[in-house]
Amino acid sequence: MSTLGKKRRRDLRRRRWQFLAVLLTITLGVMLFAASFDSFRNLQASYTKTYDDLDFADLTITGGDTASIAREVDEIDGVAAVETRTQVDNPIKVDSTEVLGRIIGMPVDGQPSVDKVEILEGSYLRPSEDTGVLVEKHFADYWNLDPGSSLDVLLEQGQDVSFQKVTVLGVVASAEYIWPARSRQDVLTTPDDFGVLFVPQEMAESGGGSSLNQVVVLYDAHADAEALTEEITEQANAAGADVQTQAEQPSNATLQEDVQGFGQLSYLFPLLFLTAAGLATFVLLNRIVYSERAQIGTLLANGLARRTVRRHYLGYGLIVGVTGAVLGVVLGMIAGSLVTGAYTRAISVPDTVVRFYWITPFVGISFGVLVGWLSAVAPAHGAFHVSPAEAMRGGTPTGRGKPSIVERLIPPLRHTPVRWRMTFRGIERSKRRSLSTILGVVLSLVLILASWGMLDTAQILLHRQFDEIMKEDAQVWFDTLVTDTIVEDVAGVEGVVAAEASSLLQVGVAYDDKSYTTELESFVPGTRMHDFYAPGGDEIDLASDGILVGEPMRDLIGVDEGDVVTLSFLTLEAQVKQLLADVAPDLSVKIQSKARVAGFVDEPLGTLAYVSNDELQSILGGAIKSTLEHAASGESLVGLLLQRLGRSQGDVDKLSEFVMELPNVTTVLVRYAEGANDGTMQQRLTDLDGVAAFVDVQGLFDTMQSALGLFYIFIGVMLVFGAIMAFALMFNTMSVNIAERSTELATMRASGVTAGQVARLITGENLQLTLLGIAPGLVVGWLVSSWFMSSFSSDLFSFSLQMRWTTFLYGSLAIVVTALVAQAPGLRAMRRFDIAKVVRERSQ
Amino acid sequence: MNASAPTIQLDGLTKTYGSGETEVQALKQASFTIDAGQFVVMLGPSGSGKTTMLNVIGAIEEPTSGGLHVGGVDVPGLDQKGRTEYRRREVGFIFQFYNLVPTLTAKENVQLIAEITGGDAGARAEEALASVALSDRLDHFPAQLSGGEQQRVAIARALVKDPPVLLSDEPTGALDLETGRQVLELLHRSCRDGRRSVLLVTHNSAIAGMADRVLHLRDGEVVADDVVEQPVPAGELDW
Ligand SMILES: Nc1ncnc2c1ncn2[C@@H]1O[C@H](COP(=O)(O)OP(=O)(O)OP(=O)(O)O)[C@@H](O)[C@H]1O
Ligand SMILES: [Mg+2]
Repeated sequence: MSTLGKKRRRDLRRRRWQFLAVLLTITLGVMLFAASFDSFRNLQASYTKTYDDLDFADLTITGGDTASIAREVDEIDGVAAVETRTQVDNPIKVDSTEVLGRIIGMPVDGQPSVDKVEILEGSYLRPSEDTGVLVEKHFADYWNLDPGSSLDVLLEQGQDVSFQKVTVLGVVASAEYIWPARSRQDVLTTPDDFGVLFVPQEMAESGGGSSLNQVVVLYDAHADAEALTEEITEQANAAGADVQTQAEQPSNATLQEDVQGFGQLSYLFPLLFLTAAGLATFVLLNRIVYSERAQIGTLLANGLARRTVRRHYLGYGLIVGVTGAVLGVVLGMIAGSLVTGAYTRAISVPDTVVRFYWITPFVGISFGVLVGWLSAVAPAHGAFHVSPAEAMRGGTPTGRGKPSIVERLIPPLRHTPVRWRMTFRGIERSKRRSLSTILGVVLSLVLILASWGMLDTAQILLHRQFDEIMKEDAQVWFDTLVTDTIVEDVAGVEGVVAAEASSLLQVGVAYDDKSYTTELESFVPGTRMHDFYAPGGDEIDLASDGILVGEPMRDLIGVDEGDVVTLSFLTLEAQVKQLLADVAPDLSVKIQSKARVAGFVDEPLGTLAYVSNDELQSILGGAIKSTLEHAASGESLVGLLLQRLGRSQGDVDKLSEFVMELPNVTTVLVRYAEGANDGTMQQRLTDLDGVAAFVDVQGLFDTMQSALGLFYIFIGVMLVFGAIMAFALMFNTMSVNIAERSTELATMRASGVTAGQVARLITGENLQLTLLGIAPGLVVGWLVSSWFMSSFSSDLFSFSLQMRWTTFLYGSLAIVVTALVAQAPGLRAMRRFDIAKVVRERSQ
Repeated sequence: MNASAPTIQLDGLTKTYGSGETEVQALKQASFTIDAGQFVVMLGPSGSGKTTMLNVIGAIEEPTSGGLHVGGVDVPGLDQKGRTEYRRREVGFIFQFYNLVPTLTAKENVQLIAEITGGDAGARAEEALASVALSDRLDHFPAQLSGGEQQRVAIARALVKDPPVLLSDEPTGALDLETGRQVLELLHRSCRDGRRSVLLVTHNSAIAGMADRVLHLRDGEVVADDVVEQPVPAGELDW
């Protein structure tokens, strides 16, 4: 090893704590990158494997003439497989609790070629077992359902609709329900209110639908998916069907959104850490070069090449950069595989794929090299330009003094004790170091606020959604139309303070050529079950002449207040079609109507549409009648529909009211008395006659909280990392601050200034620097957090940044505390100064 | 203010650095007494233990063994707090390389130390600077002062506390003849009234001519202790 190399090794050892601090920050930064990037890739791979294994549909077509659509699509080049099936939402009774389940028909003689299920326990359906069903894992786990267990499903038996006992043959995982979402709008479900059963196709048809209503399509692996989707969508839309791509599929869309989060994190947070690490290295190396100017000058005067000097100092940066990066890559890749496993376990993804990606070490180590090099370049350049004459200066500090800006701005400060003046000037003494400290404070605050901001946002928005917007404690579904009598019955239950009729309909909202599928919820005018807030924050009422829609709709379909949109009542279309399926199997039912957008609401969860019960009736109006009349045998179909709804022909004008009687359209929203027990209330309410399902809103809140569980852990880890980063950076700048002035501090000590006085002086200076960083740090932190949050937002979650003022306060306090802790080692060193030695260095 | 300077009494003072092979005996059994108000010059080749001697007397280093009494105070027996107090009340240091705080003006550098001993620090700082003939440089920062001026600020800083003992390590090492004479004159004047003892370290044997007493150090031992009968005024020294 060269002599310079030896010097470097000794320097590294001598300043090991500072170099370790830098190393730690680089390690954390690269580790975060590697962990989040690997998790991102691994999770994608895990999903892809499950999707591939189970032949997850590329396209799901609902409605229209299922059989003929399937035939046509099968002809198209690039389509690998097509399956038709029946999917209905029907009540399921398990342990005497009724749950609004989803029933999906499957072939009994073997797995379908599209949307297979993975058998986790038991076996697949068998032709011999016509009451055998498969239960989706989430539901099975919650209700302890095993092969052999039984449960009841609401099914048709001849003319009769009643609960029929079915037997569990197997517990399965499905690509469509990895995240058990009921629909794109309703991604938060609990096993208490949603469960999926895969049943023999025949059973599904008797579940209220007498025919096929869904086509699932799988593309060839090499097909041009986009073009295919476009072609099929056009055909399907023409045939009156609704198309959902894999990207829009509720489970997949939710998971993708979550996973994208990791993708985002894989660069934002590492960037913060690496910047901090770069700054810390920069400060440290500057200090080294500065204190060694005399030696450098001497070496240069003796003929050492300037390039050698530069290389020497660049070496420090590269050594820590590369070491930190290698450590970070290794730890990060381990963490990445752990996170992947934890994640797939937490949300029951059937497959966990952990791979080695060459790109991770490559990029990770490049980060390290880059940070090390960038941070060393300026100090090394400084060394390159040292004049050999520096050797003659004997190492006296050459700093120039002048009164500080604060003293010039506030003249009375010039008469404060010199100790104070010294702290004001100390800040301007080494501008680079002061700037680095300030920047360090800013970066740390950004990290703290970004993580804490996510926490605040999640909590504030959940509180807003579940406490301020949704006022109901439960939704009770009945197997008949909700009438005034039923509402009164519910209101009469002990512990219920309010009950209101409401309805929930899946609708397509179209404007110009854009359309968005969502839920239209109707309430009694002046409802006590839901508060509506305009984007500005003002509370508004349901309109008497139109609908309220979620704010994101502006962008989604380009609609504005006062515009008239076309509503397609998808739930009703499907149900009416089912009612008439035996006489008109190919009937394309379109129930559409115009509605005025009366205003926008700002809600954190979902982008829904709201209407009053009366306005819904007037919007629905003659929509059904006119569609049916446009069909070939229209008149008779209207008659038949009335008959099937149990109404006389003369009531044709009330058709829109009657369709509300269809299952799963109307519901009762309930508010409990203060302090009511959720379990007791659920018991009492489900004991009412005709209750088909019950949704506990508290349960939804709990689901959301548990969905956020990983997110909270992540934030916790980020806060800890942020604290370490802030500590490492401040530790370095503050140690350097003290080291740079060891002579003058030792001189003061030799003159009888106590260690405590010197400590207060340094603390004063460091606190001023910290405070200087806090103001811009809060602003930048807020900006970065809101940008970060908005990049997480979608039509499902409107994550506009919400922060409590206390977060700013605590964040700032945390930084101040970190600064105080970070200077402690430096102060300890100062107290232990061998005054004689420090003084001797200069005074000999 | 102290009525008179203390006597400095060394009794077998020993200072050993390191241990085993790297052990260095910087001071070996040094014993002598400096009377109140004496101006003592300490001569010796490099490495003979001069700086060590000053540091031990000034309580910024602890002796390995032996006794040291300054004005009756058992210096090695002081605790951390006591040593700080001792340095504050009893000693003033003048270092070869001045060690001024670059961000403070001449006056502020002096005032900083004046403040820790209480009283009207500003006025005392000006007074101390006046005594080193720097009244017209009060608001200059160290970088705006010449080497000799900086050294005078360092002297003013040591004098502002009015210390009974002044310890000065190579005060003229970096100065030209004329400035060096001025500085020495100043130091000499500060102890002429018997209120202060000065211990001045130098390589320069010419300076010995102005002392009341000259101590010769070699390898940590006091090898000669001469009393000068007829000290020459600093202004007449030549080297
Ligand atoms: N911290 C230390 N560790 C080990 N040895 C030391 C230490 N400080 C000083 N020494 C040694 O003690 C001896 C006396 O040192 P000192 O600084 O007192 O000499 P000096 O007479 O002031 O020399 P100079 O005229 O060169 O300044 C020297 O041999 C030196 O190497
Ligand atoms: Mg010396």
